[in-house]
Amino acid sequence: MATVEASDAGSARRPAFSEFYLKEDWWAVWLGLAIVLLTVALYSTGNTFIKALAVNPGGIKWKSLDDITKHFAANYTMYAVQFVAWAAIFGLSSQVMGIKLAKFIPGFIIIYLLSLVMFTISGWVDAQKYNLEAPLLALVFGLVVANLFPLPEWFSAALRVEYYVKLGIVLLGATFPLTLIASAGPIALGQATFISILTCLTIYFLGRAFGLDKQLCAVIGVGGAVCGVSASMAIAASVGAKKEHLYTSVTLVVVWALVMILVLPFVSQALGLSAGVAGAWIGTSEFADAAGFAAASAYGKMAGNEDAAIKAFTLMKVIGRDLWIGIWSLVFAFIATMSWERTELGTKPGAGEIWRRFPKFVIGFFIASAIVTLITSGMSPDDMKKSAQPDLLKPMGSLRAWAFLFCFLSIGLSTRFRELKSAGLKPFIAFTLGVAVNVAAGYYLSVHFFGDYWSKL
Amino acid sequence: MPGCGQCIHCVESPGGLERALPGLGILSSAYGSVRGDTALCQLHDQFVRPGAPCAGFAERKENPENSAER
Repeated sequence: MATVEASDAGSARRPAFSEFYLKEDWWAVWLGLAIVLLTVALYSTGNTFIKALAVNPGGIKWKSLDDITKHFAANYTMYAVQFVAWAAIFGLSSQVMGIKLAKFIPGFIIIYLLSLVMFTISGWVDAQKYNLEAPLLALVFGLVVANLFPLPEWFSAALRVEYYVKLGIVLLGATFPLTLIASAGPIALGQATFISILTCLTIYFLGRAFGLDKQLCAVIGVGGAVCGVSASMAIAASVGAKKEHLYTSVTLVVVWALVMILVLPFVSQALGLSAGVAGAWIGTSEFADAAGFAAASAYGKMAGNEDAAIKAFTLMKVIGRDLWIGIWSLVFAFIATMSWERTELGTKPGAGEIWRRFPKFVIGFFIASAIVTLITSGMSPDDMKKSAQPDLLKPMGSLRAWAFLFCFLSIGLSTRFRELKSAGLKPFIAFTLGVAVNVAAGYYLSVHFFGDYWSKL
Repeated sequence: MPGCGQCIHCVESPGGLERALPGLGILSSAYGSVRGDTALCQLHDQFVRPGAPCAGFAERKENPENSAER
């Protein structure tokens, strides 16, 4: 049995407020809102520092190496300041959470430089013609490197996939009108809930029909239906899951999530789906936020409307599915307690489970949306176009793109297929059929049932 | 009887959990809110809440706050 040293164990005796500085969700909220408030404050005074700081080579549309040289010669100081800012906020917060700064910084230097290269390639004037979109480039490059070359152990300290995507989601809130959440949220919630229940029940009952443990069926069922390994981890203690059950979930989720990142954008393109419709479909199909944003962002760029794809995906995945993970955990805890055999290590479920498992970064997303909606609500269309768009919303969109690209690179660089455990044939078949039902039902609802709605985003 | 959280077999820290479960960090994180206080019992190879009682309990003597995670 592989064991971890006892000194790695944490403590149940930490103060209740420790969650505010030990969980990356709360750090994403603090840092994301600090960036939003600083950007709004500087914008209000006419200061363009954040606009300059949010420099990004992804949009330069270069035609020759000379164009690239000119861009970096003009902006190298701001790139240096930007790197120091990212390294400081991610590095210091990670240090507080227990990841040593001395290990994080060397890895993050590599992540930042590679992101710069990926953005620069995607900034080629013909990049779109060859589908050289930064999210797919970063993912594929990372996968190739991680699986062909041995990477040093210290490098993994900077591969914080979830932390980067959570900060990116809070920043995304700043460019997401609250009115859109209010109008589209109920439709997204209805579609996502229907698909989630259908997928979870499909995987669970197929697994049971194949003779698999209840615990394993529950763990992979919520993994395929709600939010991947995070959902599996959320219910693991409630249902008394074994370590090997989580291994199975990790393997199935990672393999299928990667397949869908690479396939869904191209299938959407072949079917001629609008960016909004494809974003909604990807939002019901992908399990993990990070993987889904990679697919939605890639297709959005391919379709020439990244904004619509990202918005539809966010409504479907973050608002329609992620918010409800605590409720799923509570439901399975009740089922396990009331009708499954009692285990020695069982604990009674309580309503506190809903808040304990709540993905707190979503709070930051809503607050960021409310702040910017309030600031821009009284603006005329002309002011929005000439002032708020270029000086407020675009810089925050660029910073979000950076955070997402750190995430996409980290997915590729941390996925070493040789380290994944075999999932077994029966769990693989049950999960795969669940994915098929999920993708097919999600396609029908996104394209045919709510297609008119999503295409107008 | 004290719960799992004070047991020598309990892995509760996010760094320890990510080392115990290779691949967990690819599309998830032990540092996230959805994990809550879920820990791993290495005696039973099972996920637990820190308050769970157990006949195999063995009190941890060292102060885990002093150990660096990664």
